[in-house]
Formats: sequence, C-alpha cells, structure tokens
Amino acid sequence: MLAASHLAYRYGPRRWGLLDGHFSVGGPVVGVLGPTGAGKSTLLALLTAARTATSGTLLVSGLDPGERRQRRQLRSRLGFVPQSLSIHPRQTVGEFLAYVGWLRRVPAAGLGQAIADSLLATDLTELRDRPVRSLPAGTRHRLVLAQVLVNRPSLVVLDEPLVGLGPEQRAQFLARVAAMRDDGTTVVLATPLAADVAAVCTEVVVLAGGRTLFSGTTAALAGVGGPAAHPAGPAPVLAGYHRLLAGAGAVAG
Amino acid sequence: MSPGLRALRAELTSRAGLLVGLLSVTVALTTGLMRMPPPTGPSWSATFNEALLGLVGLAPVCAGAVAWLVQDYQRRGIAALAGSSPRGAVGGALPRVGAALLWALAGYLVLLLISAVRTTHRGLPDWPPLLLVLLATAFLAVGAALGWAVGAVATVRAAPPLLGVALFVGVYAGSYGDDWVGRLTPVDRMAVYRSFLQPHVRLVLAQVAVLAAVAALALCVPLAGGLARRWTGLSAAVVLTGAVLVLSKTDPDPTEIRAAPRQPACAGSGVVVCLRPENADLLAPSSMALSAAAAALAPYLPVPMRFSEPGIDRRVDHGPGVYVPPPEPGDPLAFEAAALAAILPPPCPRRVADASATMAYGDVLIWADATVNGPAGIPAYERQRFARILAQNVPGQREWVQRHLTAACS
Repeated sequence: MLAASHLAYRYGPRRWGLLDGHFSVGGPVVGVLGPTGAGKSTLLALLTAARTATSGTLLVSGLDPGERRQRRQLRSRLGFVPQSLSIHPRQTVGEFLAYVGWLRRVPAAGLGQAIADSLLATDLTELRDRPVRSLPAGTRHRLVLAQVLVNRPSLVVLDEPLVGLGPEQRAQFLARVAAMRDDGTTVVLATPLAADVAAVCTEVVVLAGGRTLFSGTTAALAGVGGPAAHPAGPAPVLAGYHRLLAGAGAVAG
Repeated sequence: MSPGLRALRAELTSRAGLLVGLLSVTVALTTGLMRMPPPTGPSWSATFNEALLGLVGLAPVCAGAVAWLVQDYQRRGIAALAGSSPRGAVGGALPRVGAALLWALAGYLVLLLISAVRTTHRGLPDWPPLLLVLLATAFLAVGAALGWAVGAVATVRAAPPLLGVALFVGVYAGSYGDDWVGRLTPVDRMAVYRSFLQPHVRLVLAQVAVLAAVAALALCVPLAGGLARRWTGLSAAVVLTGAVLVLSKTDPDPTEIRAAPRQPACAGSGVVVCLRPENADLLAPSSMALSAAAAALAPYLPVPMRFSEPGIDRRVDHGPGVYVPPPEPGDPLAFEAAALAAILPPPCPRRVADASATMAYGDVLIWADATVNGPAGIPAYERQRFARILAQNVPGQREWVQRHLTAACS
C-alpha cells in the first residue's frame, strides 16, 4: 500500500525533511512512528500529496502522488487530520463539514447525505447547528474525525491525532480508528508513542532524523534486538522501538 | 446554491469577513466624503479618477485583511487540511481571499457612488473612463495577492498591518510621482485637475497589465507545485516586461490623451466656437461671450475667428483660440473671463516670476475687460489711469497693448 524508494524531501538548500526513505508496508492500519523532528509530518505531507518529493519514488495505494492525474485521484480518495487543526470557533459543525465537502469536491447533490452520514458515524447528529466554540474538547476531536469521513475515503491519514487527549478520549479515538479499519478503510497513523502503534497498527515505519530505521510488522518491531520479555501488550513494541532508537543513536554517535 | 458559493457566503458573513467589510466601507466613506467634490470637466473621467484616488486607503486595507485571513488559515491547520484535498491549499483559501476582495470592491463601489452623486455630469459615461474601473479592480486584486503572499510566508502577527502601511506609503508617494513612478502608480492625483483629461487607453491598459503581472508574481508564493509556479512566474515576468516597455514609451501630453471628437458641437458664423459634444449646453453662452469679446478687441490686436476646446483643432492646452469653457452654463462673468483668456492668453509659455511682467499682463486684461464690457470692472484706484488709456485713439491703444504684452514676457 505504501512503497518508497530513495524517497527524499528538502525544505531548503541545507534542510532535509526526509532522507533516502525505503519502505514497503501494507495492511489496514499502518503506523508512522518516530520522535519529534523525525520527519513524520513531512512523510505524511508526501503521502497526502500536499508536497512533492524532491527525489525518489513513492506509491500510495498504487498511485504516484508526484504525477498530476494520479495526485488528483489520490486526493479525492483521501481523508486527512493535520497535526494541529483548530476549527474556527464561530463556525457551526454543519458549516465546517460543508466546507470540507467542498474542499474534497463532494458532489453538491450528495453533500447533505455525506455530512449526515459522517455526523452519524461520530455521534454528532444532534450538534449539527451548534457553533464549534460551544463543544467540549472531546466532541471537537470527534468533529475532527467526522470531517475525515465526509468524502467516504478509502485511505485515512492521521497526523498525531492523539496529542493532548486524556486516556478515555484516547481509547475512544482508537476505537473509531479500529471501526474505520473494520469498514475496509486503510489508515495511516503518525504518532510519537509506541503504545498507539501497538494498540491499532498492523505494520509500522519507524523514522528518526529523517531516516527510515525500520519498516515491517508491529510484531517484527517488537522483536528488534532480541525476543520480547513480555510478548503481550504494548511493552514489547515499546522496547523494540527504544532498542531501535538507541541503535540509531549509537550509529549516529 | 453551490457548495463553493456557500463557502464564499459563509466567509463574507463570518465575524472576520464582516469586520473586513466594515473597515473597507468605513475607509471608503471617510476618503470619499472628506474630499472636495471633483472639479469635473467635460467627461466622466474626473469622477472615475476621484473614486480611484480613494483606493490609496482601500487597497492597503484589502492587502492587510487578506494577509491576516491567510495567516489565520495557516495557523489553524486549515491550509494543511486543504493541501491534501483536490482543491489544494490555494483553492481552499479562495473563499477567504475572495470574501475580502469582494468587500474591498464594495468599498470601491461606495467611492464610485459618492463621486457619481456629487458630479455635475449627466448621462452615461463613454467607454474610456470605464477602463479606470478595470484599473481599480486590478489594483485591489494586487492588494489581495500581496496580502496572500505575505500571509503565506510571514508568521509574525505584525506582518499584515505592516504590509498595509507599506502599501499605503508606497502608493501615496507614487501618486505624487512624476514620469516613471507616476506612470507605474495606478493613481494620479493630477488627473482630476485636467478638465479635458480622459484615460489614455494604451497607458491604462499597460498599467492594468503591470498590476496583473505583479499579482501573478505575488501568487507564485503560495502556489504549490513547481511547474504551475514556474509557468505563472514566467508568464508574469514576460507580461511585466512588455507592459513596462509600453509604459516607458507612453508619455502622452494631456491634450493627446483624449481623441478629437468626430463631430464637435460648433456654433457661430463669423466667430466660430467648437466644443466637445457633451458640452453642447455651453455653446450658446460661449458663443455670445466670444463674439462680443472678438468684436470689441479686433481693432486693437489680431483676434482668431475660430475657437475650440483643447485637443479639438490643436494639440495644445493654451494659446490664442484655445478655449476652455466654464463647467456650468449659469455664470456670464465666467464665460467673459474664459473668452478673454482665449483671445489674450498669457504671451509666454510660463509665467515670468517678475512682478512688473505680471502687472503688465494684468493691465492688458483690465484694459480688455473694460474695452469689451465697459469701465465698471476697473478697480477704483486704477480708473484715472485706464480712462486716459481708453481715451487714446485706436493706433495709440494698439501700440499700448503691444508694449504691455512684450513687457509681460520680459
């Protein structure tokens, strides 16, 4: 589903966001894991065709985001949650979703139904005419997820959507991601937390300093550097991730 | 209503949109009402120029507002969301930028209405002054494009007001500029004082082309995608170069700006006076004043038998026979003064900065007025001196007039 070869993106003459990325991962939920500044958002910008790679090749669901026609196709299939999405507080829930529908080129005839469906899927139907400022934080997060569903995407890309959520909201959000997966939607989840990856992801790409440290199944990540002491739960994934970062640090150092 | 129009309406009526609208209309009302009514000449161009002058305040407001709205668009992550959509980050910002531009255009409409209500013209404008509406629209579009570019790259909150101030200072100073600067600035303060001035088609079109190219170059900043950016930038650079070349070779004399009418409105048999067709209502009082003045002064100096507005017969704006009518038909004294100025224009191209020369020309005008209309207009303290001059025979007065006209140029 995601395949990259020598993938690189440069922000300026000396500032690389991504360097020589190599990976090939698939599965219903792919995690993009890495510490702050690892290049996760840059990779997601390339995946969502918001930016074009400086060099190398990238295929997302078999489409090349660098090619104009395929980029358009990819964008029309996408749902995306950017890292910090702050909806205008005076906008109503319905107005915001209508705007997203317009962005995603949802046909005018079906837009009303698409909005109703996404509100239903996120339990927001009753709040359609409420201004965003009147919604509690958890409900706003549901709205952020609702906007993803407006164009009924086959690929959903989430850029650190769990930052700032409490344990309960976190669990609810991950449950909705799992529901999307069960509906046949492919999800790419960028996160700095290995626990999130362990909770929902089947495959994972680990980045650090713009480089690809690992790509493969979550189980394989847990086995990096030796067998896990506790094979169940998030701990082995976290341990494998830490060993990977430590190794990269040793190499870099 | 289509989703796009709905998005535009939402931006127009949002709190930020209404704030921008309120600011635009307030600036337009203030600048429109603060100015004196336009000293309109024989065309609508002065009215349109008057409205154009108001953009010195309105375009910076538009630029600053767009920069502010685009900064908000970026800051809230909406740009990132739109960047992954088929419309892209630029397309996603269109409702915001469009709303601000529409409010600025509404402000311009207010300026136009104020100027149109206060003008003395009647009837519909012909098409050249309408080019100034195109110029105004292009100018506001440049403001919006500059705002978009600054909002897309500058994250500091002071950037939008700073852009507005910089644009205001630049255009305000440029509007007083001569030659190059003056022609590059779409606002010309002197234009309203040239009563016969209409927009010079080539000049205005070149200015519109410059503005369109500047707007396109500014839009290259937020435009994503190397190819689109490269093509836009390249096309804009070509247009800009061409337009600047045209501007460098276009420096029209005021009387060349407006083409001579195919059929001027003319009257009189002995003394003929020709005006532009829209000034036909000024023909009768003009003809009367010119005939009376020509008949009275003919024995003393060479008097032209044909008078016309600047640019009709000759491409000069002053000289014997060049007649500039007063704007209104109601004041006979104004027509008498205009007639004397057409028969006895200042003999030098420029007024000599010498009191004796100025006084000599003043004496000739007092003498001419007294010869045409009688001695009632002579100042009381000059009555005796002019009584002696007027008592001389024709050759004596002719010699006196020649002597004073020569002295007026010394």
